[in-house]
Amino acid sequence: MARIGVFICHCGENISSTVDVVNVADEIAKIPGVVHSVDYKYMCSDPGQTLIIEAIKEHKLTGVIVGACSPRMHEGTFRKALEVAGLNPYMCEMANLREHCSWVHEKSQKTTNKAYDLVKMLVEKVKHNESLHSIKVPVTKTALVIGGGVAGIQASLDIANAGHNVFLIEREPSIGGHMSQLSETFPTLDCSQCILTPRMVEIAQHPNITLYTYSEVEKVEGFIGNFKVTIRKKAKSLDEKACTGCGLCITKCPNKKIPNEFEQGLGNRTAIYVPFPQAVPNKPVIDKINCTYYTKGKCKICEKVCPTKAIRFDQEDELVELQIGAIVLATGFDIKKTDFFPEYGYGKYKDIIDGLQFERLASASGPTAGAIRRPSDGKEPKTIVFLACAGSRDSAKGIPYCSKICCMYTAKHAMLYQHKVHDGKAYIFYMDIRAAGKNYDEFTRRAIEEDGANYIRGRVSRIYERNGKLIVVGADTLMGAVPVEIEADMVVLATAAISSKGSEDLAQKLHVSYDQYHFFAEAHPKLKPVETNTAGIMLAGACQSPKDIPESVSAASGAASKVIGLFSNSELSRDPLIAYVNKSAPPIFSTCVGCFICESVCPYNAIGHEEIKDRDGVIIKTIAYINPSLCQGCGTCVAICRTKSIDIHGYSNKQVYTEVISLLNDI
Amino acid sequence: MNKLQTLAGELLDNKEVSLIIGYQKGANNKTRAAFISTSEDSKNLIFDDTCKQNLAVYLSKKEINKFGKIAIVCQQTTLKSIIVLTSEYQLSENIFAIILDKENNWQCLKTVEEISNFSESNSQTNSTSLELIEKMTLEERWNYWQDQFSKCFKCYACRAACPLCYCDRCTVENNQPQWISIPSSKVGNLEWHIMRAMHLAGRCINCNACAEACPQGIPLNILTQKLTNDIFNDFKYTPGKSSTQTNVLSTFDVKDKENFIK
Amino acid sequence: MENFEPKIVAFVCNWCTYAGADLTGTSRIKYSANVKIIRFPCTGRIDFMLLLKAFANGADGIMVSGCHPNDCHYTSGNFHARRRWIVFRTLLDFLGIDTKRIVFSWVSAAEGVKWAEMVNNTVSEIIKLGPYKEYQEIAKEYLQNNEEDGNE
Repeated sequence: MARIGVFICHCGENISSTVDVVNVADEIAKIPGVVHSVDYKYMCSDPGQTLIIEAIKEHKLTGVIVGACSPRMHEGTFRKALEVAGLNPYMCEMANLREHCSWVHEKSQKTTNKAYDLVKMLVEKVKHNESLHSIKVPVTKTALVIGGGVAGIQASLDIANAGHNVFLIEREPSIGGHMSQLSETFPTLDCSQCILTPRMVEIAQHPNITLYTYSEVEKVEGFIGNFKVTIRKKAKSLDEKACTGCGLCITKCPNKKIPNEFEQGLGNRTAIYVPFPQAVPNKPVIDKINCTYYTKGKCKICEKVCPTKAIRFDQEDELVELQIGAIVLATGFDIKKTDFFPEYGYGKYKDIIDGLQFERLASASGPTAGAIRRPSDGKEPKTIVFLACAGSRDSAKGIPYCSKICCMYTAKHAMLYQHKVHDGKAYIFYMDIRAAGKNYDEFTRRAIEEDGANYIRGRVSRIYERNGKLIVVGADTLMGAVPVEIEADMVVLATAAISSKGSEDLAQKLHVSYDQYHFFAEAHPKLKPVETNTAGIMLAGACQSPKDIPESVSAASGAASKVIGLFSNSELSRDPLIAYVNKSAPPIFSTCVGCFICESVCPYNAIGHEEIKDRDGVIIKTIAYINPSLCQGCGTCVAICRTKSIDIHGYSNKQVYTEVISLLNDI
Repeated sequence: MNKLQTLAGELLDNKEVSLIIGYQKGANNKTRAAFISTSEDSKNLIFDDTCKQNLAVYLSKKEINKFGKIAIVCQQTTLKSIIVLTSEYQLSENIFAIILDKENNWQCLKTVEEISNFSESNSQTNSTSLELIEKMTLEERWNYWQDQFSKCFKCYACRAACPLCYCDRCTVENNQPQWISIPSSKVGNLEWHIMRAMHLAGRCINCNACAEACPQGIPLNILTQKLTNDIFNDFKYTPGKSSTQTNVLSTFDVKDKENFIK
Repeated sequence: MENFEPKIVAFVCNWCTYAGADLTGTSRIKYSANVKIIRFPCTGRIDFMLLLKAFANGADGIMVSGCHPNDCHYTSGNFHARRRWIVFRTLLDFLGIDTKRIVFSWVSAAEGVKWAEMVNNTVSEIIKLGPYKEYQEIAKEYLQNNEEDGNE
């Protein structure tokens, strides 16, 4: 016989001001099966929980209903109280009398009646609750970090330093990401590579980190603590063990005119190449798309000159399977290119460049050895116009968000230009100056006061060429929207930051949510910024939203701490509210007829085939089997099963049926 | 017909099959299903205009399964039933389908591929009664079906005749909870027929065995025809096309219409 | 009909609409008390027979609500639910059952305002349509004889 205890909470006055909680408790006591029904000011408080614990012991309760706030707030609290009292925690249900009732309705008998109905519905439901126990799942203490930029590097080092193994995979031939392309970083004007490369070397040398560059994620299966990830190691055409990184092949390669991705197209590279001199690993790859041997069957000079015979033209992509416990996504961002702007020439003007291209010009190891030069004729520009918010904060362009880093790096670019070209003039068209970080505002003030950058508040409607100069047509809104026309030698567009290429595909492989801009979705915008809704997968850096370096590093350490927390348990406890196929004694074995419509509906591939055999090994019938480690408890299989052979704990057929009936009837 | 009996006899003699399901004359000169396991008995096999029953309904019965390899005399609809049953993992052995081709010769199709190739596609069924009902108002439709369902006395012949109703325990036989009210009643009949139509959605191949079997003459086939037509219009899905097809309700298209969802 | 208080059941998913309704509460937005929520893990869990049971037990209207497409916590539950509803609505309409009494919606965890609007709109719609007499008539015998389920 059911012995249900009902506890109606006043929640101070939050519930009791609109719902007659005393009346509800009194009326509920009349329902058959309810042996104890009380009200109290604050059920979630210590004395409130003690009330429940004492009642369970005194009245030998078999089920507990708490009529209070949303179960999304305190279901866990009350489940723990039941455990303390010695009752199975899953024999507790919460009626949402606050968010769904007292806070949204006026004080009236109707509201009290609704509260009564909601409690009654759950009283009837809990009569069908079963004792359930957490499912224990083993955890593989190996992490996978996808993306080798500064965020991926930080996360890998943090996890590895905590004593766990890390696989870091990066799709470019070297780690480093966009930070390795920068010349100096704000607000300190540190040399970017100088602070990054020691970290990159640490990765390469760390005993707990295995680095796979030129590799991508092929497939992800499994679930938190038990992922099986297949990595595709793209063929570098190189035996990495034999290669010493001497670089002779690169100097001898005759195919030298391939646009260099690292230099953002401002310089060229050879077909066998290392992306930049400080690359980690410092071993070349062959670009199969442009290499003369791969396209025309001739050359092979690199193979001939290599002193250790490390070149392998017959090398194929390799698929590697890894057992992983947690994944950190750190795939970074990209920026819009200049061809995105019809009003600025669709990218056809060579001297209109984007922020990353300017970084390469300013960089001492860049295509111009750090001298600012026009890409068209190599001359030094005497006037540069910088456009902030090129594409960002513009609904018409489909990018309503702020790209966060551009105000700062535009100020930085103006300063770097001024330091290199003393008689140069820098103009910056801006909408706002967003310099909110530590020492950020002081930095932008420096650009204006010490380095003479001219800030013009207004937007640029058009840029066109006239007599070898770029005519920038804008407005100065602080002077009453006076039109401004500047003859520039070069224009730098601070283009919008966007999600990195291939984000959508990767998110779908990992079952991670993403927004309309293909930035990965965090589990909660305030309280869970480094986790996703997919258990076991964390987020670090600009792949979640545009960020600068300190924020990316912080997020990476945050993600790493989540992983380390996960790994600090030898087992993971899973919620037991999952589905199962019914089983019974022979000769029936199960009412499942093996049509497997459930198999095709499960988003987690948790359903497979189970053969029921007799003693001689002959198959009697094949039925569906749900893997309790994989099932996430959505219940779609339960609804679609025609024989009703699948049921789900916590939302079983009997439970939901009873809820509908009792909600609508006055029994 | 003689050729049919010869073909059947040969299949049994060669031990290619252990059972042939076909049609024969039964009591009161009515046509009934024949279960032939010796070549001698194959002389009972007939095939004429009275042979309408969809024999595929016997393929999922346990008593039949224990025979091993089976041949079955088919109409076009029977072929489609075999394909759907195969896609739902219900047929363990290859079934031989014996069917008349367009030149009136008996063909024996021995693999599921041959059966799929031989099967003619008809994605939509047009019937005047269906169109008439579609043109009625909401109230008229309610009254029409309430009238029809009032004749139903829950004999479940429709379920027994349908080849796709092979569930060991039908939902209506559940009482924990009691989804469908069992006795013949206005609400019980309505719930039963809604449930039947939903469980056949995207699976029914319109053999009309249900309507033929109904002793009260309720036009049950119109219900399933309506769903088959609309499923084709909405999802471009036709059941019984391939043995590896997935059910229409266990797949989805991101672009499925949602003009009714706010 | 005067003083007609419709009985409306809402079948909602835990991760989006239930959370959205919580947000409506946290924002103290007021709406009609005629709608009572039953919580499901996902819209994919909602069996069509539950909707029939709701009508048979006196519901004048039904709301079904879940996550927007592509946002399902379980990736695809709402897609399967959507297909099921498309087919179910066709069938119900063909049988003369008023599909205007079943309101489907996507309400996310951030759409507290939308949930209040959905409830208020649904309640006024159902008031206009009146009590679901036709279904309640045929279910009367069932309701009277309802000795089963719920009570041990």
